[in-house]
Amino acid sequence: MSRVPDIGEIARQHYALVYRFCARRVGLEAAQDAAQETFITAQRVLRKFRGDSSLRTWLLGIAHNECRRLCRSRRLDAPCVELQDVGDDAPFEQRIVDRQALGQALNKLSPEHREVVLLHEVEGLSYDEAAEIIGVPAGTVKSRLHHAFLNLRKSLQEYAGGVR
Amino acid sequence: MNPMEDLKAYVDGELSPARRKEIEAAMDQDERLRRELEEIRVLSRLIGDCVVQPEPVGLDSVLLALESRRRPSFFAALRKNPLQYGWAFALAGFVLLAIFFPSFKQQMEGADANVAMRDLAASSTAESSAKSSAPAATAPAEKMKNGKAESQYASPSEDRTLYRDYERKATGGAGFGVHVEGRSPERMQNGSGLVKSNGVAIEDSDAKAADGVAGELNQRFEVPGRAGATLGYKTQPQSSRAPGQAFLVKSGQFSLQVMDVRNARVQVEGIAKTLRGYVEDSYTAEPQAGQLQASYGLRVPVNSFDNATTEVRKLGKVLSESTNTQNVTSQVVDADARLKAKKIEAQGYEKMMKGAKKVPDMLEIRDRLGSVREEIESLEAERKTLANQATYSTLLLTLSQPEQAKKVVPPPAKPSWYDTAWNSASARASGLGKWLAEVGMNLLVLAPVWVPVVAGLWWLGRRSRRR
Repeated sequence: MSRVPDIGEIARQHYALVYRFCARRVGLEAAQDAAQETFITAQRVLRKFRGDSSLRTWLLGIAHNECRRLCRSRRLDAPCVELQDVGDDAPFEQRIVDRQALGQALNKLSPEHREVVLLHEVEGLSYDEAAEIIGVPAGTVKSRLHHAFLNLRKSLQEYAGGVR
Repeated sequence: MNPMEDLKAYVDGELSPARRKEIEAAMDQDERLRRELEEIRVLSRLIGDCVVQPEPVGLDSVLLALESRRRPSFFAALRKNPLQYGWAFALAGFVLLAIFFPSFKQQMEGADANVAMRDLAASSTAESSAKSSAPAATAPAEKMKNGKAESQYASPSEDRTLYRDYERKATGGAGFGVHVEGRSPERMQNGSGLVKSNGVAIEDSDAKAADGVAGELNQRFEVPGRAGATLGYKTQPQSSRAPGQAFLVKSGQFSLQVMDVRNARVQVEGIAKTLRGYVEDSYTAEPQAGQLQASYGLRVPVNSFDNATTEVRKLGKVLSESTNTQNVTSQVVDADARLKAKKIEAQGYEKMMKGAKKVPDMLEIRDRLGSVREEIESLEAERKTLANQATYSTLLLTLSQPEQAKKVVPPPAKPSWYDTAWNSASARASGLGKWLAEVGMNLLVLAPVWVPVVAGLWWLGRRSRRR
């Protein structure tokens, strides 16, 4: 009989991941509530965790559902993707243009495309993990990523054309 | 498949080796493909690097919330808040009650019946002993002021019994319903006076002889008490017929309906054995297949008659019963008096025989002596029969099986404890199953009532937890 892990220890190890995941979906204000509900739900159903997936994927799946429920109950819109400063080695103008262009391009993505981009590019999840979290086949994740990057490049090209 | 669609997967390393080779082959031939691959790679790195990683806050509150909601173990929760699990205990208690209460009630009713039967037996024994001892202890001299014993009991039978005891004391130990009238205690102790034996007056000269006969009868017909030691009854004293006690011929007829006649026969023999009696005769018939009938003549000591009737009634359903008690004391006394007189007469004839000189006289005396001896033998046989009837009472039992039980195969007479325990457990399990099925059916039928209520409560509870 496998030992059921302690939920407190799990929270300490994965809280940052879950909090950031929630913050990108419901915003910073509701991120704490969503993260807390995620761990409370995990505590309630921890005995049902069979280990078929990694604990991180399982937690993010719960967090994904909690964020959707929170958005629905509080009528929250998906927050804009915020970008931080790039490295200092890049030219200042280039850095400013690229960040603004990238931010606009990301926010122009559909929710489904933006979700897979965040899961894969930001959270660092594989296609299979992302597919498990959002409940779609891995091929769908791959397709959505492909089209998301097409749209991103298109938006960035349009932005670059407009700037010129 | 278009290589352009798999460029992103190629960058992410999510393609199979074969597909990777195809993409690489395509890129070797297509400069535009390589340029797009580089753009995707840069864009992917840029997104990963530029997206803000917010600083997590609220870990402590989450840990506190988790700790407060941490569900303790069952026993810890029970110690902490026992009332929280009261419903569970109430339900368990109800189930146990539903399972065990019927058998417990039956056992208690059986125990009550046994206690009542023992009380009844004890009270009857105490009553009978009181009848025999109380008069001796309380028979005051003033009750014989007029030379006649007075009874303090209203019942005729009790009155007779006590009366005899009073008279036995008055006549110096003689009994058998002989009472003395119109004599002072002193005269009674001397044995003089008018002696009556069940209404037959014996003159004063014969009173002493009658007293002697009564005393002799008391000595000769003592029957040891042996009744019901293993049945929970108090056994009678060793001398079942105390001096002065009447000769009672008790008999009874019972018609019983039993589940199994063969098994009932074993029980009848057990009753006879337990009460130190015997089965005098038995008759078994099966007029039709499965319609077994039997009749038994059960002889038990007269002191065990009541115990025997009690046990016989337990054999089955009593269809009819009748008991009869006949007091033959007067007949015994009469037979003994006549016997003694005849013996005296025979002794007289024997003396006359020795002194006779003439043959005709000797022949006549011999004839008289022969007839007297015949009468003596007849009286002795009559007396022996009466004594036997007064020593052992007779119960005639007629047993029959009910219609529905005629074809039932008789179960083993004495099941082992394992069988008993197994049958009991099986019956309880069956009862529990039936009860659960009944509960399930009720829940199913009443589902339109309770399901919405439970669902609403569950939803409200979930909603309150979310908040």
